[in-house]
Amino acid sequence: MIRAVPYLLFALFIYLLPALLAGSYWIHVLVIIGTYVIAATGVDLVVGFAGQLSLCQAAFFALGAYASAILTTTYHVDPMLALIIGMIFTGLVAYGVGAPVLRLKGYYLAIATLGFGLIIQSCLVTFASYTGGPDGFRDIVPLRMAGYIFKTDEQYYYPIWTVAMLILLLTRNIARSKVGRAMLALRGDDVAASAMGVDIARYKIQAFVLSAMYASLAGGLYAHSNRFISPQMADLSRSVEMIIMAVLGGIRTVFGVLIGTTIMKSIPEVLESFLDYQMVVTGAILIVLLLYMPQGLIGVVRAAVARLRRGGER
Amino acid sequence: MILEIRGLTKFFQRLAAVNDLNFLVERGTIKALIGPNGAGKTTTFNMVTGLLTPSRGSVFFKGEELTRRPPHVRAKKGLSRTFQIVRPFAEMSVLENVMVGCDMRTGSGLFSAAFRLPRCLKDERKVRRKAMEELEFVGLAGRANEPATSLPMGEQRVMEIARALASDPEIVLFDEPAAGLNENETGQLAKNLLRIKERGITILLVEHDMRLVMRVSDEVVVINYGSLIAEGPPSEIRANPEVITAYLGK
Repeated sequence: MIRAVPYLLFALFIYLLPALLAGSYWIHVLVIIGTYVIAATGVDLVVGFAGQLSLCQAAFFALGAYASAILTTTYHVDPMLALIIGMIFTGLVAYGVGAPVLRLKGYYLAIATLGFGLIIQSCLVTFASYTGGPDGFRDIVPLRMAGYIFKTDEQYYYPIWTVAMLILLLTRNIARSKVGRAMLALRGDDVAASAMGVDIARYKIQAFVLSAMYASLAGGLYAHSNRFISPQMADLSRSVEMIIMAVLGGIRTVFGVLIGTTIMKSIPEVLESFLDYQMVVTGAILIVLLLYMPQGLIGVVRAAVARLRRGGER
Repeated sequence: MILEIRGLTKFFQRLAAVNDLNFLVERGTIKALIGPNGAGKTTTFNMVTGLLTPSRGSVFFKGEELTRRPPHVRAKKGLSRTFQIVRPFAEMSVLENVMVGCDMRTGSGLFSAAFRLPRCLKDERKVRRKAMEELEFVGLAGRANEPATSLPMGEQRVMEIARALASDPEIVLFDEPAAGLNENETGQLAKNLLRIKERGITILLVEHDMRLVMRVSDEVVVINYGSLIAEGPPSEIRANPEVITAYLGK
């Protein structure tokens, strides 16, 4: 029970935050952070646990966003239902792509998923009569729940963060179960995992499909809250950004995803004048991360604490 | 017969690494597979565990043909193994490593795990208890919560034995378990092999260490150049002129 305390305190903090920031632009940023936390948690599952380097998370995010936009705005489907249809659709696409592609390993898998992302992006541009083409999809219907229409960022804040925390909780539960162990085992050594009865193909697919469904949900929520989406959101750079979100804070930890996403989505706000150099900053972060802190920020802190403790014992 | 190897053959390019190999393993016994370097022991081992597909021939386990089934299916049927070069799961504790071995015996999946349903919690307790039992069996319980990769190599070997036993296998295949162990550790290994046999678990042992083989095995199969050259109890094998020639050269 004591272990739940930090999580409960965090939830309390999240729910009280809007009161402190009333009227601030940061509410808008926090709504965006919340949506991306959902997608980045999926990356943590596939890349962090199952160890499969997938570079198409942004494509699944875009699929969810366009599914929601087209279903609600063009076909007047209820937004909540559209979110669920979008998740199922994206999950099926992920299954179709993942079944053959997840047989590949390492760089080959990365390139194959990168290729899939490019296909999705060009489809979004090409089928302009449905998607609005390169100009994007405008005036998306806002989220509606039991007759209540969500309009402002303050109104989106609570549902989006509630979903984000729920996703974090479910993923943490999965990670600490047989499923998480199987994924971690196949990441560590797929030959040994298979010999110990782990159906590696099945767990790879589970991680991939689940992560795609998270991305789809995040994309759908993004489409409604932002009310405008464009094919740019399926770009490779966005997938890379999501991987950094999962790794920067500390891979395979709930708070790591939260920290990583917050940093990655705050940088453009803090460094507004650097907007043109955003790719440079992202790239630099990636290089520093890979070279100096593969365990992320939490890893750096843990190592420091361990050093202090050892110092104290002496 | 728990394991039947029938006409097993494996070609690499045009070279036969294993050629028309036949032998049986009787339930509840320790059978050793020996031979000089390059005799085809590892190739045979990999075909039995499912890492390699034979060019010809078949593997029967409990009367059922498994020749082309993937390793995890063989594991579920009760065929487990250890590795010559240790293969611990990194980023996991010793206990979690052993729990992976047991996990295939529980039915709860992704959904019950996500919502921590009673089914999943019950399975978790069961798997944890079983893994702990096996760690106690091999004498590694004190290391349960340490990262697996932090153990010295000898203890990682022992952990792999617990991991293999955690699934309640009917046969365990040991791939050169004494390689790199000192005399003391090899003695402990021999004791463990006999204790595993006492539990009614069959063992197929691929090994270089002759003293270990002669001490624990009920039957020995000797192969050279991929073919069987002798089969019988250790005392007979020790006196077999063909075996002596194969090992010492003419």
